[in-house]
Amino acid sequence: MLEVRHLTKHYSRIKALDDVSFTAARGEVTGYLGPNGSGKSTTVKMITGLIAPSAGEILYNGESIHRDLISYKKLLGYVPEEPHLYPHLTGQEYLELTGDLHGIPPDRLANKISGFLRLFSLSGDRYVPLSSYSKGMRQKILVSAALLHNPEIVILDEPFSGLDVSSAMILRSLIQSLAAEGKIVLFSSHVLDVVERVCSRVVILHKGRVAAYDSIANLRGLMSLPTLEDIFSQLAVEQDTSAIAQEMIELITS
Amino acid sequence: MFLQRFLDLELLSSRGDAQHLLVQIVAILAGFSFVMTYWKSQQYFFGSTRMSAEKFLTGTWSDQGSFAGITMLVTALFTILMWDSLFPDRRDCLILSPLPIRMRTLFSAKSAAIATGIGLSFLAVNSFIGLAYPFMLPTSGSMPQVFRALAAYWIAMGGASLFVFSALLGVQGIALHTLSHSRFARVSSYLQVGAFFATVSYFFLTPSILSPAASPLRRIRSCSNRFPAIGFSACFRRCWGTTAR
Repeated sequence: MLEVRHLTKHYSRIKALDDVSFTAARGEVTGYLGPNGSGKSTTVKMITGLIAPSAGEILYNGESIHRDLISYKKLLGYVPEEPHLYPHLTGQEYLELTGDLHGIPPDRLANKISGFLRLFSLSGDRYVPLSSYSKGMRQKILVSAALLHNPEIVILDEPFSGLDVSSAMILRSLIQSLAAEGKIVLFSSHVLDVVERVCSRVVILHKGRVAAYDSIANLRGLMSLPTLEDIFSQLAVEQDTSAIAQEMIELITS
Repeated sequence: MFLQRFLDLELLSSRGDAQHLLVQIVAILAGFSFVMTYWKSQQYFFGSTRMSAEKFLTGTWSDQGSFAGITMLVTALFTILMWDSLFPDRRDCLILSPLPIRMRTLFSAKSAAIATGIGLSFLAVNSFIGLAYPFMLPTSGSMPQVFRALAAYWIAMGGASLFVFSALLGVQGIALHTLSHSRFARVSSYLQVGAFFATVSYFFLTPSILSPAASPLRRIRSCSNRFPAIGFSACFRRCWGTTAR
């Protein structure tokens, strides 16, 4: 179980995250939602050990992840929001690098890499530098790299970014299957219909604080709203979206 | 991986381009070293037959200064080429931090890559001349003296290379510590260009040790503080045991 307790993060004087607590259980996909600047990526960076929290703690199986960060990272599969890669490496080389750093034996690693590249239809581009890959192809490489070592905890930050329809459908099924395998899956996204389909629970952030944390069914019942999008709009969207759209149309046509 | 990243240029697109470019650079430097060796061997052969050993030995001062200058110039140019990859940057952190890798491992890998890049350029530019030059010098034919000259050459040139690399690393390190990330990002390219022109200018402005107005020793005393190449040529002669001449 992955537990986030009273997590707070300050950037200079700005409070990016304020007393955030939630739990991501095994066998469940936990959705992590919030508008831009609500602190989603900050939380994800702290859970992956990229940045340290100003206050609060992150526990895995009851122990702080910072007690043995390297062992914790061995259990972690992370798909970042931005596709940060070394553009001079080929897809194959990048996967070899990540697999090697995770300590996967070479023969097993070669099989896994071939399998991932084949299933993501990248076999033909395996020796092409990542600088020549499209955004979707890079995303497939990042997803493969995150799952190569069979992680216990899978953190996906906008994993559908740039993916074509068939790859997105594959990934959606994959997320559910990973949870069914007993893994802890934290899924941060703006694509609310996908979140609604794959997540058992959601955490909705607003201005760095938890606005809601429950199962989607419970939230629907509590708020008497039919969809996650309506719930999200009620909790985290302050603007009148229709009015803004109408104003934009007037601006375009003026 | 880090070594390839030094040559991570926009021009490189196909697989293996970085390695090919590195091999080409090394080959050009080694070729330059070969031409210099041939030229100097001709000069020293005819020079040593026309003048006394004492006078001839004094005349070799300026060559030793030039070798140190060329080594420093090549090291500086390689360091400037690697400028953006000398220290682990934001991209390294974002890519490698979620992986189970210790910071010291990351620094060791980076250091090994830098050492390989600089080491290759240093070895290439000194490859032929560094092995042949000690044999060209008038050493009374004694093998211990030849080996001493060989060791002196590599010590002096290694020192010259290390000096200029450390100086440029220091410049970037100080800038990184004193400036904010965004300000450093703005200033970094100017520093890189400045370092390039400073190095090239220094190479061409370094005066000759041989001057009709003063003896080499007096000239070294007056110039070695301002022109490190002259200091390293003195280092060569001290290690070789010919300081007095």
